[in-house]
Amino acid sequence: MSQLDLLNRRIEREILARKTAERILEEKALELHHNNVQLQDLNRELEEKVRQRTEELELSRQAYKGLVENAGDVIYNLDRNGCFTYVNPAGQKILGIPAHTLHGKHFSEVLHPDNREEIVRLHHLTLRAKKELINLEFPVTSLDGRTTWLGQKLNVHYDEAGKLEHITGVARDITEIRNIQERIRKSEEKYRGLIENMELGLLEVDTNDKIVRSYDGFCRMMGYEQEELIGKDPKSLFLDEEDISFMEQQEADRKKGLHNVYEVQMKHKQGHKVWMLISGAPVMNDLGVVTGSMGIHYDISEQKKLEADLIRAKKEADDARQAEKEFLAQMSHEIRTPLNAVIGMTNLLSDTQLNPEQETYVQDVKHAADVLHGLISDILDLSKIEAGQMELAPSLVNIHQTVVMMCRTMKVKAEENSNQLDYFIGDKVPQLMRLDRNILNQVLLNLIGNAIKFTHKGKITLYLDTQIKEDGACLLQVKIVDTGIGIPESKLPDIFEKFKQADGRNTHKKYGGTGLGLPICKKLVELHGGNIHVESETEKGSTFRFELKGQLADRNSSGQLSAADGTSGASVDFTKLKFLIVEDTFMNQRYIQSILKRWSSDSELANNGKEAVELSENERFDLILMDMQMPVMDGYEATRVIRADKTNPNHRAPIIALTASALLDDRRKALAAGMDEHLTKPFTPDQLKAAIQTQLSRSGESNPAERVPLPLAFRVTKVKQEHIDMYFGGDMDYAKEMVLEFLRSLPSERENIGRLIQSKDSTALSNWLHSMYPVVAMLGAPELSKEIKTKQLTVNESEWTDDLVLWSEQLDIALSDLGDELEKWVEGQVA
Amino acid sequence: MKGVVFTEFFELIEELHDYEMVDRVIQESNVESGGNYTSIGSYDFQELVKLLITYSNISGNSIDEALRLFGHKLLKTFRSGYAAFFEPYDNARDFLKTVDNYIHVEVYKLYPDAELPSIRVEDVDDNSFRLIYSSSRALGHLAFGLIEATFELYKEEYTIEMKSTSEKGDEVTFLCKRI
Ligand code: HEM
Repeated sequence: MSQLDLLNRRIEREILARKTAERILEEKALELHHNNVQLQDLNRELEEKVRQRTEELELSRQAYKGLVENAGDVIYNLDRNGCFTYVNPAGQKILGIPAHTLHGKHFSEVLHPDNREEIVRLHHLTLRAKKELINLEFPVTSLDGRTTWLGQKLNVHYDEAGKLEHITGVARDITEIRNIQERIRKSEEKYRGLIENMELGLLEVDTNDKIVRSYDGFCRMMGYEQEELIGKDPKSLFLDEEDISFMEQQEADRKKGLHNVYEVQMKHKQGHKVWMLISGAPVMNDLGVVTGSMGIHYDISEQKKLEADLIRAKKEADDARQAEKEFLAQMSHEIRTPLNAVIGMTNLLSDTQLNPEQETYVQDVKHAADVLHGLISDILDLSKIEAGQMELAPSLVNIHQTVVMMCRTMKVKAEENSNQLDYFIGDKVPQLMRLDRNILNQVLLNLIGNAIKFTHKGKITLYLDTQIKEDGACLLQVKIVDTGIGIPESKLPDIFEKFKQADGRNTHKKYGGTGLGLPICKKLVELHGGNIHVESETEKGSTFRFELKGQLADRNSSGQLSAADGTSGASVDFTKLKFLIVEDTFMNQRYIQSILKRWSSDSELANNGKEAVELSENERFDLILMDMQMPVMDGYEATRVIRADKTNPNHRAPIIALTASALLDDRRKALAAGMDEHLTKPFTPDQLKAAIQTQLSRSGESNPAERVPLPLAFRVTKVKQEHIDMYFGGDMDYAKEMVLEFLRSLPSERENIGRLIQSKDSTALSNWLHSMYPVVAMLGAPELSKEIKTKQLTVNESEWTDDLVLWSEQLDIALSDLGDELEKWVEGQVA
Repeated sequence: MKGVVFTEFFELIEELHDYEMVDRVIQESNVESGGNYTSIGSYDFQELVKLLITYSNISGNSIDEALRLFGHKLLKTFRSGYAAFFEPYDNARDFLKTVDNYIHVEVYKLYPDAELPSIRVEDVDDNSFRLIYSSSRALGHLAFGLIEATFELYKEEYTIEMKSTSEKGDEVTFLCKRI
């Protein structure tokens, strides 16, 4: 029974296992089926893709074939032996050979016989080098003998073992381009030839600075043969060390594509130097890539020599001019000094008792000396103007008065020639104008003088008018008309030129004069912003017109002028005066001494500035006459020393400068040094007298030695009691105390001024002035206080200037005067 | 574990004893699948472990001994079923070298769910080599039986020194020396 059970169980297990197995197999089968279906789908898909690709390929093959067949470029295939397997129609056309005949032909058969060997050799070289891409240009010949240049690009295909498989070629007909290039090359050659013929040397270098080509012209210039230069470095061959770096800079510029021109010295083969003007420009190939540069050389050695000669000539001329200037300056001094003496002595001589014969001689000497003096003055004036050393010095001028005076003076002369001199002044002409008085006088004097000189028994008329310009300037228009001999037309253009008188020697002989008068007038008028013209007819007369550009005077300034003009007239008693004459020239000493003696004045003589200082320390003089140019110590220096030394009894004495030139500069220098007036040598006794009178009568004091002219603000005449009252509230004791205190400190304060002037310390001066003006105001000198205050403000802002010296010195005087007045005041208080 | 291992194991028990023994092992093991295995199916490895323990308890044979005998049994089966794997070689060492990188690879291709060990063969010298077995199932004694049977098959005499190199027995080294 249990055996049966066992068996049953076994069978049952076997059945269950079988069923499981069957089920597994069933599942596997199903899985397999599915896989199979999927596989089939995949297969179909793949087949479809392959079909599509094939179709596409066919289409593109067709397209490519169309392209190739219709291409304008030649497209061909060569097999490994170099025989055509395909040539597109464009190729067939160029070769003039139909495809079926071409196929199988070796490519060399279509080459131009001239190039055949070389191209075949190149072909083999390429293949041996296993190159894959080749660019070639060569000509082919068609069946009917036409030659076509082809630019080719060959693609060489090798198999895996590196064996040549086939070659595809694309070629383009470049015959036309080559023809054009050829034409360009020929025209370039032509231009280079032209340049060569123009004596220009061409040199072409590559980017490594090696000569690639040198043209004949260049070789000729440098003495080399063409072959000697190829491959050489032009810098080391032609240039000196110092020029190389200069050249490198030029080359750097050229590399940037800049054209440039420069000059450099180059070594000739023979060793001498050649100056070259070089223009360099980059050379570019067809693609615009810089392949080198081209230098165009031009031999400028000749020009360089000329240039050097010119520079030398100019220097020589400049030197000569300078020498002339120095000569003139020297001459001025050398001639004027004795001449002044001659003129002076003649003046003295004519004052003595002379017999008629002697009188004539003296007049002749005087005339000759005057002419000589005029000539020298003119030459010097002209050279000063030309050297630009003349400056305008405008001041207020009374036009009417000037003309009246001028005509009055010239009337005498005019009458000598039996001439009538008249003047007309336009209604609009103002009384006062701001212009250079000297220029106006000089030009008038000259033109009127000329008119008188060249007119006999005729009329000379002066016309004046003015015109206001838009910019506010006032043009003074002057016309001088004479009825004289006139000027020939041919001479008119030269009349204002130097050393060209109307008819040269004759005029000079007959009428005298230097011939410089008109040129000087022209220069002066031009300096004054105007111009001068002449119209003339021989035997009828001449008309000179000139204009000066001035300004209208404003009302304020006109008042000042009249005040200044009103100083003359006061008489000075010369017999009580003692002068110090400072003069180094014997004749001048004698001249001045004798004039003073005639006026019964006393005088002392100093031979130079140093002596003058010494003498001035010991004795008080009423006035000092000081020459400027002297040995040992000149007049400027002496004046400064005398003015600066407050213990010197003459430190406030008037000093008149005696100078040889009328130049503004000298005048300014003299005034800056502390002088009061300026007199140009030679001077007449009257001129000297007038100058002395002006100086001594200014203050109106009886004791002139203690008085020098001072600006109004500095003239302390009397202490203003009202001011003292105002400040001290009527407390006179207190006021007196303050005044005495001021008087005590005054000497040290004045020393302060001296020190400040010497140190030229404008800040310190400003501080000092600041402390000074309130005190001065309290002590009854409001004008002086105001002047100090005003000055203090400007000093504060400005650097030290020389007019501060003069101002400070005047202030010193004013303070000293104030001291005197205060002393008087104190005395009055005591009383 | 592949069903063939189970069916072969039952065949071995029947050979050593009788079907009654097989029946008892199945019934007493009380395995989930019910014990009706088919060689082409796949079953839980734990069922084989249960069956081995039950057999060992009833028969008194150790599990290790049973596995060793099972190795002999399996190799015979493989020899008759897959002769082509054995024929190219005339010695055990060369054949064993192919198990890991060829035979089991082929098995795996056929049954992607097969659980196979790693069998590495290292030459020591001409007469000896080392076989390193490693598997999470720790059936070192089955491998032992398979190796013994292989030597017998190629009629070669080797001593086999078995040494566990890990506590769990998942890595075992067999040093084989020719006698
Ligand atoms: C023709 C020869 C062979 C065939 C066809 C074969 C095939 C197989 C198969 C089908 C399994 C079962 C796998 C599973 O159930 O998941 C297995 C496992 C196994 N094989 Fe082989 N085998 C062969 C030779 C050998 C040899 C020579 C060895 C010697 C060492 C060996 C060692 C093993 C071991 C130890 C296992 C058990 C599984 C494990 O330990 O993880 N085999 N083999």
